[in-house]
Parts: sequence; C-alpha cells; structure tokens
Amino acid sequence: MVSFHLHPLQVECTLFFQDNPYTYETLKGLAMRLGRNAEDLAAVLDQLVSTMVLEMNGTGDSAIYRYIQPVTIDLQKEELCEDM
Amino acid sequence: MVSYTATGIEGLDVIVNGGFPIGSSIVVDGAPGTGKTILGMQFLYEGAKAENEAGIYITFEEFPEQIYKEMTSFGWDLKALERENKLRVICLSPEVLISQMKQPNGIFEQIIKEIDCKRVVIDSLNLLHFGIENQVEKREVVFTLRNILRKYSLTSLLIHEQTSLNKEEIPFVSYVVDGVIRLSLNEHNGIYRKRTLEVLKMRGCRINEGEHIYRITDEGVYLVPALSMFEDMVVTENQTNVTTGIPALDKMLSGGIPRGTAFVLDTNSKANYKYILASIVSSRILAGEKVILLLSSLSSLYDLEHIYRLYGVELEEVVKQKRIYFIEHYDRPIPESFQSAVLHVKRMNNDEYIETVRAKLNTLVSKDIEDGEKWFVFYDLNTIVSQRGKDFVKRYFTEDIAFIGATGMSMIALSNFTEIGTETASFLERTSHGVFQTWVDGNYQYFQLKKSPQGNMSRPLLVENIQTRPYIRFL
Amino acid sequence: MRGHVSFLQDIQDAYSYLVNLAVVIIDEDGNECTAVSNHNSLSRLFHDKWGSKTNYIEFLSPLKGIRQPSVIDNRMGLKTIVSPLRVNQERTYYIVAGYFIEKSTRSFIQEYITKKFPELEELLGYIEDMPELTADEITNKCQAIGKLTAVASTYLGVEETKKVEDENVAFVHRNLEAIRVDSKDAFSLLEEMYNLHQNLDFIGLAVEKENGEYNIEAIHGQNTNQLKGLSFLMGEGFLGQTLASEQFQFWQNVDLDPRVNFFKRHCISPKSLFCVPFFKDEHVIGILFGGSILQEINDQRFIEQIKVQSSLLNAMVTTKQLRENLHNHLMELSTFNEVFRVMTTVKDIKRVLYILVDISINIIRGPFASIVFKPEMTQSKVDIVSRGLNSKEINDYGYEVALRAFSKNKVENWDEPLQQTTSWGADVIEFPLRYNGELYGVMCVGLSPKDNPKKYKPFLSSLAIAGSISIFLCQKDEETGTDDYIITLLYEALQQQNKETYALAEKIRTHVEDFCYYLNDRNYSTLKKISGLICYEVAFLKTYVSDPKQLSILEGCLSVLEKHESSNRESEILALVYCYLSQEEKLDAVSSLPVDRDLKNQFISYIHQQSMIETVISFDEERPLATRSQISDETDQAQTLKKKLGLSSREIEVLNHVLKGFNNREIASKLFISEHTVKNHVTRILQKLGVSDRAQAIAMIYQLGYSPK
Repeated sequence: MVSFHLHPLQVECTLFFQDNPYTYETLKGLAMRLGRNAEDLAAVLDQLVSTMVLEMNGTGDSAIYRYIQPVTIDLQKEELCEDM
Repeated sequence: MVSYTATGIEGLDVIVNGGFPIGSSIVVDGAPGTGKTILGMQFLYEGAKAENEAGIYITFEEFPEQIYKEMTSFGWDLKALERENKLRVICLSPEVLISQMKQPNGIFEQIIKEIDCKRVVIDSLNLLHFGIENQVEKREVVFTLRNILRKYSLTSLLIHEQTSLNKEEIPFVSYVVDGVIRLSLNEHNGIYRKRTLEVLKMRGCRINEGEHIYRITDEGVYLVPALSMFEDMVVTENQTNVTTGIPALDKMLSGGIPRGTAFVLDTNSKANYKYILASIVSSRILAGEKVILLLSSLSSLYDLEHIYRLYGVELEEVVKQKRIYFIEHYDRPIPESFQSAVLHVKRMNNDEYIETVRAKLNTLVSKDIEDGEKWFVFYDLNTIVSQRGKDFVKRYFTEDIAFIGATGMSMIALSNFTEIGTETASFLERTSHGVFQTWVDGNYQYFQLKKSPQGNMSRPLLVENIQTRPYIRFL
Repeated sequence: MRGHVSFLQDIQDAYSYLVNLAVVIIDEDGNECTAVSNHNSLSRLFHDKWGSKTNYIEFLSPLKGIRQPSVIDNRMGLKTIVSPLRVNQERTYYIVAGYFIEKSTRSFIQEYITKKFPELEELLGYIEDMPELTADEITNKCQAIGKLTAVASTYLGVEETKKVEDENVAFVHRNLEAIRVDSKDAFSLLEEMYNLHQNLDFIGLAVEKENGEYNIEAIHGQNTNQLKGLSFLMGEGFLGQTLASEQFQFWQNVDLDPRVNFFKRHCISPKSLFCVPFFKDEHVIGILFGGSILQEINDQRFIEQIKVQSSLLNAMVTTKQLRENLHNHLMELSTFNEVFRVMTTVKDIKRVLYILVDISINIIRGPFASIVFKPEMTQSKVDIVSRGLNSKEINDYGYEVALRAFSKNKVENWDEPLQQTTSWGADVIEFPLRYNGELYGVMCVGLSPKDNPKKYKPFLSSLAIAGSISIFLCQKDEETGTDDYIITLLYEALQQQNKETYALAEKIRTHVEDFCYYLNDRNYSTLKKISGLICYEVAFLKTYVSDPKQLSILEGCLSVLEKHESSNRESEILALVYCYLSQEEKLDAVSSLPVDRDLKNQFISYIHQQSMIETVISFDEERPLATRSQISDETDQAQTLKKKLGLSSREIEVLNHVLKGFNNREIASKLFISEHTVKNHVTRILQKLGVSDRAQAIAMIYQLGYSPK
C-alpha cells in the first residue's frame, strides 16, 4: 500500500558505492559492510542493477556487485561554439 | 637475474640494497598503529608517481573512503591517481578475492590488466585467515596467494597485524613468502616511543640487519637506516658540498662536507686519524676556503707543514696569503714565517680565552664573510677539554656551532668520546650536524659515518693505508 | 447465565412451591442451569437415575418445536410441564416442572411400572403419594410456569443485552486505546470481533491491491480458510457491490441469491451477510465482511455493533497507514537531506553530478539519466555525465540539450521542468540546474514508456535545486581560490612599486596575525588574508576583489579610522593595527579610536608583550654569542626563558619536547593538542628565538645553558 519514491537503503547503497567505487562484494559482504539485513538489501541491489547503477557478476550467493561509473563525455562541437 | 623496484621509502631502499625484488611477496608485520597501511600506500603512491608503476590496494576491512581521507594528510591524492589509472583502492571480502583470483579472467585479472598493475598491497592477511583454525590451511591460502601474485609478476606487500595472540604466526608464513618486514613500536627509555623497522627476510637481497628507526612524517614513512642517532638535520639545499679528498667518504656524504655544517670525528688515541683530518682540511684549503686551526698537543706546526705537503698544500704559502690562522695552547717552537698567523692562548683563563678568540675571529671573519669568503675551522676538542675543561666545551660548543652555521663557516672537531664521558659525547653528537668515528679493533682500523646532514649513514668500513693520495682508503 | 443464577433460582424456587412441582432450568445442550427446586422423593429418584446430560438431550430433541408451556409424558407416563425459555431470540432454555399424573391414571401407571420396571419397587410407593390433577389444575400449573418463563426470559434478556453491550463498550474502549498506542493491527482486531459475536460464523477483511483488485487478506470462521488470498473486482458479487455502492450493506436470506456464488464456489453458504467498506480519502481501500451460516441474523443491535466496530477497524487501518506514510515520508525526507548533505559537503562538482545521475535514476527507475553541465560560463564546452545511454546517444542528445540550454536559441528563463522526446523516441523530463539566476546545466531523466512522471516531479525538482546549490557552493569555493590569487598578485604589485608601503603592509599582516593569535581566536582567516590590502585605496580594490566580506572588512576599517563605530570586529582589529603602525608605533594613537574597550585593552597588552620580545631579540642580534646566564634551578630557567625570549608557558612546554627530539606529531599527542597547533607554537618559538630551523633553536637553547625538563 505504501511505497517509497526515494528508498533510504537504495540511496545509502548508491552513496556507498560512489564513495568506494572499487568495491566488489557479495550480498552478504555488502550487508556486513553497510550493517543492514541481507534480505532488505537484496531487493535494493536488484533495483540498482536494473537501473544500471550496479553490475552483477555471477549468480546466487557468490554473485558479486560492483559500481558502474557513469559515462563522462566532454562535448565541444564547433557548431555548439558558434551557436553560443 | 633478479631485478628490483623502489620501495617508495628511501631508507628502506638502502636497507634492502636497492629495492624489493620484482614479483616478490613480502609480509609487513606489525602491531596496530605502527604505520603498516601508510607504508603500504606509500609503496603504491611512490610507485605510481616515481616509477610509473600502477598498483592496487586491497582492503578487506577498512573502507576505501576512509583510506582516501586519511592519506590526504600526507598530501597523497589517491583519487587523482585512480583517475589516471595508476591506482585502485579495492574493497572486497577475502573469500571474494581468493575465488576471483583463481577464476580465469576474474575480477582480479581484469583489474590487473586494466591498469597494467605492478604492485599490490593486501590489507590484511589476518582477515584472509579469518575463520581458518588450521595452520596448514592458513599456509596454503598464503601459498596460493603468493603463487598468483608471482604469476602476474606483482610485487606485493601482505599486511599482517600483530596481536598478542598471533605473534608466532609470522614464522610459519615466512616460509611461504619472499620477505618479511617487521614494524615495532617500543617504549624507549620510558621517554618516547621508538618506531623501528626490521627486515627479517628478503629473498634475493643482501639486507642490512638490525632494527632501523623510522618516523611517520608529513610525507609518510621516513626511515633512517641504523647507526644514525638523530633525525633532525640542517637543510641541505643551497649548500655546496666540499670534497673530503677521500672518494668513499665523499660518496657517503653525497659529495663532501656541506658548507655551514659542523662535524665531529670521534676517535681514540690508537686510531690513525691524521690522514683523514689532513685530507679534509687540505681539501678545504684547495677549495679556496680560509682556515682556522686549533693546534693539537700531538702535532706541532712542523708536523703539520710536513703532512699538508703530502696533500699538495704549502702551509707557508697559505700563511703568507693570510688564509690560515692557528690557535696554540702550548709552548712550542713556531717557524718564523708562521708567527703572524698564530694566536697564543696558553696563559689565558677561560673568560679571557673566549673573549680573545671571538674578538679575533670577529675581526678576521666578519668582513670576509660579507665579501663571500668561506671559512673552515678545525677544533681539537681534546685539547680544549684538557686545557679548558669539559664544562667549557659544553657551554660554548653549541654557540660555536650556531655561529658557524650563521656565518656559513664549516667545522670539523676532533674528540674522544670515551674519554670525555657519555654525557658530553651525546651532547656533541646531538649538537653537531655530522659524526664520523674511527677506531681500532684487533688488527684493523674501522671508519663509520654515523650521522650526516644528508641523512646518510654507513656500515663500519675498513681503513686501509695506501701509498698515494689520500693515503687512506675505506673498504 | 452463571451470574444470574441466584435471582433466577429464587423465582424458580418460589414458583415451584406455588405449583407444588419440582422445577429445573436446562439449556439446549442438556446442562442444568439451576438447582432443582422443591425436590420430592420421586423427582430425586428420577434425577439420580436419569438426570444426565444425554438423557436431557434425548428428552428435549423432539421438543424443539414447542412455543409455550406444554405437558409432556415421560417414558412411564408420568407428566411434566416443559416451557421453552427464549432469550433475545437467540438462545433457548427449557423449564421442566414435574411430576404429576392425570386424573384416574394412577393404577394404570402403577401396573405399567410393575411390568416394565420391576427393579424400581420403591417407585410404586412414591406414585401412591402423587397428586392426580384435573385438566383445569394442569392448565393452571401451565399458566404459572408460563409466568415463570416470562419473568425469567425478561430478566435474562435484559441481563444478556447488558452483557453484550458491556462487552461491546469494553471492546470499543480497548481498541480505541490500541489505536492510540498503536499496539494492535487490523487482523487481531478482526479476530477479536469474531470471538465477540457468537452469531457470527465468519468474518473477513479484503484490501485493495495495486492492480485494482481486492484481496481477502484475513478471514476467521470454521472452514473458511479457502477464501484467504482470493481476490475480486469492483461489482463482483456482494463484496464487489459494496465496493461500488461505498455503503454499509446487510442482506438476509441470501442462500439463493446468485450474488452469493463467490462464497458458494468455496463451499460456504451464508444465510445473512454484511459488508462494510472502509475508506481513505474518500476512496474505498478495503471491506470488512461477515455473516452467518447456521441461522439468519435478525438482531438489529448486532448490526449496529458491527457498524461501530468496523468504523473502529477503519480508523485503525487509516491511522496505521497515516503513521506508516508519515514515517516513510519522514524517512524520505531524511534520506533526501542526507543526499543534500553529501552533495554540499563533497566539494567536488563531478561527485555532485554522479549523485544527481544516480539518485534521479533511483527515483524514477527509468531507462537513463544524464546531466549536461557547463563547467565554465564563458566557454562553450559542456560535460555530460550519463548512465544508461550509449555514446552516440549521449552525443546527439547532449548536444540537443546544450543548444536548448546555452545557445543563442536557448529556452529563456528556463525554470520549470520540460518534457521532451529524444531523437530515438524516449520520453525525458529535463530539469534546469539553476540557482541564483545562473543556469549550470540540465538534469535529464528518461521515463519508462507510459510512466506518469507527475508523482516524481516534486522530488526530482527538489533534487535538481539541491544539485544546483551544491554546484554553486563548489564554484564559489573555487572562486575564493581566484580571489586568493588576486590578493597575492596585489601584494606582489605593491612590493614592486612601493617598497615602503609594502613593508608597512607586511608589518600589518604580521601584527594582525600575531594579534589574532594573541586573542586566541581562529575565526579571522579572511582578515589575516587581506589585512595588508588596507594600504590600497578601497575604490581601487573594488575592481579586483569580488568577495563582499573582504571588502566590508576594509571599508569598516576605514570608517573606524574616520572615528565612526563599526560592528565588525575584524574591521576594528585592522584599524587598531593600522593606526598603531602608521603613527610611528605609538599606543596613544589608538586611544581615540572608537573600538570596543576590551579589544583595545587587549591590543595594548599585546603590544607591550611584543615590544618586550623585540627587545630581547635585538639584544641577541647585537651580541649573538655573548648571552650569558648562570642558571641553576629549572623553574628559574623556565622563568628566564619566559622573560628573555617572551616564551609562553605552553611554548616552553613545546620547546622542552622539541629539545628531547620529538617531532610535531609526537608532541601533539603528548600535549593533547593538534599537530597544527604544535606547528604554530614551534613557528612562534623559532620567531622569538630569531632562528630559522629547529637545529638552530636547539643549539641556541643549549647555549643559553638551558636543559629540558
């Protein structure tokens, strides 16, 4: 009946991965690092994988999650220069 | 042929004679607070900066964000290195690491390839071993780890935290790894805590044994190879080193005794130090410096004239040019041509003495210094001690050193540490910028550089007499 | 019934003597509810022999149909009067009164007993004593028993009603309290209702699901478990009809109604059925339903109670939801605050952009999120940080957005989010990253097909604003950097052009720094930075220095010098120092300045301390090697150092550690102060000693004959 726009655990997880971008952890490991229940975290991680914030390698308990850094591109097109 | 890679810590490079063997796995063992993480990160940071070798830091427990933060206090911007693909601070569980390392093209291999990694730090072995009771199994884990690291030719530091429970663990792991470095933190005379580093094992390296003192400074770990007593040193930039005339010694001093510094040569009466001194002083004269010599009881001006001639210096000429002056405490015959350059102080009491000498020095030196002349002083502290007393030395020596430093003069003082007593000796060691020691043991004479403004020390070297200048050689 | 026995027993006793018969009340299940009144030998015999529960049930079973006191024969032809006693049309008890025989039947009965029950010999004697009653007498007795029935029925009815009402009131009270303290959930309330109402054979709760169906989440009653988890739609059957009507509904005789099929399919055949909708914001979010299977529900009061109780249930559910919503909302708010806090503290624009991308994609769960960001207002370069797009898409779309935001044909005063479609047909909302009239970039959040962005907009808009503020803060920090650069430049220019003024400026800086240190206040970093600039014309500075805080310090200082008061302490400090230094270092000069008296006094004592130190230093300079002191006692030594060098006790403490060879870090830990503070102390010690490094300091102190404690 009630759902979050901004799921606290999801945000916590995202910020954790941004702070520690080279983290490679299983669900269990992450639950330990974040001090959260693995059950609660599982759903959140699924969500983050589905929005491509995280990548999952492997399956089951040994699946490893890692952060996908957003793509950064500089744009400096000539037309843009002229237009500006 | 083993090749070596810099450890990131200058002093440590000296101790292991050039660096870590490439591809070796080295355990860094130490109690909490000994600076293992800093040493590990310095190895990677300097590796990336100075050697252009990328590295990864694997942490099982600490969060990378914590490490990023902590290391900024040494001025290390780890995130910038990560952006340059020179570093990765990786956070994972021990199980994940081992399983990924074993897996072909697993995450570990991917990262190694991605940044062309050469160096690895694993923090820590304890956590890798967590939950394993059996020593054999523990050793197997480390063995697997070492083999994989070696396969990728990764020079690696495996951090091991010493606890009161696991002190015996290192010996068993040490069979498997290539090197063991131990960091300790000991109460020193109950006054301050002394940090020491000891290389217990380093396959493929000749190591300097024993405990070496290190400090954690604003730039990370700073290690002073043993035999050095004091870390504070004068700034060596803008100082030109003047040769001592003895090649081995010049090498130790990065070229010679720097201008503006004071050195002490500690010796006993058995040792032959004459050549060492003569070589040093004559080299200063040849380098165009003006000299003040406090004459020793053992060598008169006639002796000096003879010995300096060996080094290509005609003292009489120098006296004529008013480039050398002598302080004489004894009633001895003085060659006529030298009279003008000698200051007789025999009958003066201490106050008169100091006043006279300083007045003389002031008149001699102050104008010269402005003109850019350089002065060198030889002090026979043995003479001062015998003629003026130990307290005199203690009271005025630092002033002299300060004066010398302030006026850009340089000095070497001769002293016999055993004779003047440990208190005065350690005072001299503290106050001077450099300390040489030479002594006789059995049928050999030895020489050692114990302290220098450049931070260099030496092992005890054999002193050999040779037939050509400088008539001595250090081996 | 138990509680009412004594009163009931009394009237039963009274009537039994009146009718001269033994009387007892039994319930439908054959239990005696009262003690037998007016026992005689016969009744005692029968009671002992056949007064068991099973015998009563057997006895009563053919009598269910009777409506009034009736004469019933027992197996021996002895007669009793049986009167059904109804309480509130729900429960039935039976009054049994006996025994008697009809006129002229005694011998006939005796014969029968002798034949059939030879073992009961004593019975014959008892029967001898029994009265033979006429028809009239029997009628009278029946009427009397009828009266007893009426009295008992009324009494029990009232008592029962009272009890039910009490229970109901207690229920309401209990559960209002439960709502208040949030100790119960709807399901346990439901179970309580089930236990409360005897005539309720089942009761259940259906709750709205996201797909518009309603799902039975809880049900109580025998053999009703199969209903749990079933769902139905609006209009479907009785339950669906209640959803549609949004009103309390009560139906009787529903066995044959086709709308009851929903239940019948699952082997439940209700006779009566009620349904109560409950609401949140005028929308039906669930229904409570229940009914009887065995018999119809006729009791109007029951219906009323159900209404009350379901309102209670509704209130509980709504309160819970509100609580949960409020809680979630608060959590969302605190989460959002956390995001904002991180963004504003990272001081790293790139990280801010990462957060915007990741959090927005978290919120909307769409296919992509990108930030088009313009790092330099004056250049045409834009940075794009993106998640979920390939590089061609980033290029094309990013370019398009950049044109919209920054080109000549840009959207003017872009304040509100715009919904757009990308070249490949994806819906996207673009939030301008705007703060203080400056457009830093655009946050573009891709939508899933057919997703309604309305519900996300407020959150994303807030996020965009938070992001803009963070970017603003980062850039402001960088600008301070440029200001620092300009300040340095101005000092250098002064050094080149006017050596004398530069020397004054340097002196001002030193004194301001020292005085601030003397005041032991670290808050004057801006002042320390700019103090020397007072030597410039403020009007000139205005063209270079952009920070209003810096300018206001300088302007404030000038106004103090012109004898106007200023509320800015930094201006006052600067004015004191400037006034003192520019007027030949005479303290009289500052006396007329309109500054805080305390501050002025502090400045004066600061200057006194300073001049003392300088005296010592100049003494040292004249005769660098000639300072002498014969010092014996350690405290004397420290005192001397204090006096001669103007060292503070703390500085002497630090110096002691320096002499022992500790580095700053070690000293900090020994003295429980920060490393930075130690550095400050050491710098000041070196200054006061007039030396440039630690070695010289050590030498000098030894030379003074001082040794560390």
